[in-house]
Amino acid sequence: MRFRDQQHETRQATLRLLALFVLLLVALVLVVNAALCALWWGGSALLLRDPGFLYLPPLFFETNTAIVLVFVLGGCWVETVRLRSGGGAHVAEWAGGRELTDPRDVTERRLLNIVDEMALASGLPRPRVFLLEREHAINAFAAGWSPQASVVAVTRGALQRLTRDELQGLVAHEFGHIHNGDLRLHMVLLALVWGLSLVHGYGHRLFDADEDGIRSVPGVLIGAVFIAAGSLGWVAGRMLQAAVSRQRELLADASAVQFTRSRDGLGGTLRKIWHQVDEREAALLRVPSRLLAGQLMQAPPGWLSTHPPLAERVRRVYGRVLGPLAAPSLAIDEADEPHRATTAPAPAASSPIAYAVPMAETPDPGGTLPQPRPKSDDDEREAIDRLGRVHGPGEMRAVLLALIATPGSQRERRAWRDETKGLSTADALRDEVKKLSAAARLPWLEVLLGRIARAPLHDRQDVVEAARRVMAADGQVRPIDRLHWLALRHRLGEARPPSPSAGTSNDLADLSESALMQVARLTAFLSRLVPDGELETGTAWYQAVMKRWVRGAIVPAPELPDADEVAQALAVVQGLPWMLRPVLVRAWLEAALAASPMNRLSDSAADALRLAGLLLDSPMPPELARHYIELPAAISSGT
Amino acid sequence: MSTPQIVACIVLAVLVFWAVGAYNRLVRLRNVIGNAFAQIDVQLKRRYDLIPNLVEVARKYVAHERETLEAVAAARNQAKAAADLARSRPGAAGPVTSLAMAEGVLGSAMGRLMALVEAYPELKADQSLRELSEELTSTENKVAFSRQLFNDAAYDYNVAAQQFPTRLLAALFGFREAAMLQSTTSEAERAAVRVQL
Repeated sequence: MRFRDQQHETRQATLRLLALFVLLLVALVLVVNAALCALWWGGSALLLRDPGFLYLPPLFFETNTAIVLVFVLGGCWVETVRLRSGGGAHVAEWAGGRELTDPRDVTERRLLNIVDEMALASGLPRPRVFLLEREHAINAFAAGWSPQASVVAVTRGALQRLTRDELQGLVAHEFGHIHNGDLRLHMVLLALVWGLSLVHGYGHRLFDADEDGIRSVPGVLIGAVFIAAGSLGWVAGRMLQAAVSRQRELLADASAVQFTRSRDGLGGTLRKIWHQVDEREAALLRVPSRLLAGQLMQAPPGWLSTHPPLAERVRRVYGRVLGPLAAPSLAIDEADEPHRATTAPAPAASSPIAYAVPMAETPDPGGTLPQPRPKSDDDEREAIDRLGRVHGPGEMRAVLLALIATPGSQRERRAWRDETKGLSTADALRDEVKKLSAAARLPWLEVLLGRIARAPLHDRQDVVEAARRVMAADGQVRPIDRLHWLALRHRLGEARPPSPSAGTSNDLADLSESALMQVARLTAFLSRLVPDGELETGTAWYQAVMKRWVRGAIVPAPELPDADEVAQALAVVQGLPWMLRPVLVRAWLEAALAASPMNRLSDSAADALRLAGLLLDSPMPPELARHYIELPAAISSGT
Repeated sequence: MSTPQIVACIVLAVLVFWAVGAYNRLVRLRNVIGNAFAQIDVQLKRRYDLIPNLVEVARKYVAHERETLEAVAAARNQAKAAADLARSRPGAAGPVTSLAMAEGVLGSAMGRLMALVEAYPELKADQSLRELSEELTSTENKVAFSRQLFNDAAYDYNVAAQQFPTRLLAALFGFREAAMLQSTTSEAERAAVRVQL
């Protein structure tokens, strides 16, 4: 009955941490009040030489307290509602999951059986089950607000590398999260941390120059107080949130042992994941020039990690120390190659993966304070409104083609006219598209792609062909055109089987020099757009990106690939494991931000990186998202 | 109303609220037990249905091992008959004992059948055998887990019904203590009929 003690212990620890959250909020209010009070007194003493030295305006403390609380708690509430509306199935589909309703082979059948068993053991309703086809690492996550609406997603790697008992342990761990209400707690804490970041954002608004470029002294001082208090609160909030998350992982482990009444299942899974992590790190140490080494070396420090160390988890499960366990593929029949999802993935508005609770730690998509996003003016808002109502296939096609046509090119415009012949509303739609700013065009394109992706394959291919004709009409295909077209083909084209070079494991050791070559090619191609389209700065950016992986060695000069080579390189990079692709996108972005004035990307660079992220099915980093407007939820959810 | 009256009203209201809440909680917990018990029955039936299919598939490859195959079929029929008897006379001690014995015989017969499967690679590789044994494993697990759920639910219910002050309410409305299933989740018993491929 050790697991009952462990459950009790972790529940107590969670309560203590939640009490610390309350303390943090109180401290934040006190600090803001104290600092503003000192400012006021200091200011009046200096400026007015006022004998009424200790005078404060009426409702001084009340106002400050209310501002802080409204931002934190109000922000928390708004964000919670937003996270809730996403729904677990949405998250799983976003992550590339296919719902398992009617299993295709014995291993899938087995997963469904195990989920049924665990639903029995835990007394919970049976969640929907998703399979992450393209993930070869052992992992799983649960998502959803309530036990009735939750989903469990398991990677293909887990199906292939775990025995039945171990898979049961893995699924039991996710049931533990559902049973203990961790998904809800996780979302509320995330929202709370977001609320804390709003205080910081409010400070920025006061601190930064207004539209006329004027700053006021009190604004700067008061803003600085909010910025300082807000960022301290945010960091502390993140640390507390991570600490809570670690306790909940231990609790879910203990619950998994309770449900299965067996230590070996979960223990084996943890040891195999441990082995997987160790191998990845060993590969990095052995071959310093391997891809992404620099990225993974700066793993988050312990107090920000959301999962306890695997050694500790294994020790708790078994009650003694056991080492990692090799995880060869156990696939019974090799003929059963991983099936690919047959539907195109839904567009990712933001990265909902952060709202799911994975089994093992994955790279954190967002680790910095959110920055304000651009706002739409009235014209654009109206245009968005009108375009949001476009639903007919012909109209959607016209809007899509107008979005990707080169602005100002007469020939492309004529080609567009040919393609939309017979559509009476075409010109009106095109006028609306023209009103969209650069910050709104790509979000729109993604929404449209999501909508058109539901059409039959034949219609989708038709759209891709039309796009090619429009783009080639002016006799040249610019790099951004090619990216647009690749994105269209990626989202609308036929689901292709994974390319043969796609790694079948998640280990960096398997990443060959040739894969690195293809990464270099793709980067070289992007360097024509990033950071500003100039040859010289592009080369510098390429060097900065590639230096991270070819450490110590000399980076060869970029050679610009031709169209076939780009498509080929893209196919290889798309085949990289899911944990690596976002890291690559981040590396591109970080180098581009460093090369851009004021940390602000040029429009073409932002577009190129966003499209590249879309092509790699990678979540959009917040530093990139802030270059774009956020479409109203009703539109981006694609209804 | 005077102050004492108001106080009395409030105390009464709190008491009624508590009583309704506690009563509903006990009913809910008792229903979980009933549901868990129904699950055990469902899964046991399913298991008896699966075993003949497994024997049929095995017969295709190892018809000459008639002795083992027939032992499994006979043990299964006996266990099913014992289970039907136990179901028709719930609470009686005799049928439960004979069911436990029949289950023991079935378990060892299944163990021999699985050893046979191990010895014949072409049988082990048979697609429908693999599917059937996966189903059987899952059903065995579900039996074990619903027994476990039954005991967990009975434990929760008993704790709730025996604690003061709910105890008074439970006595008043006749919530009797629930019995636990004995020796069902032991590793030995689960392992006895384990299908491992």
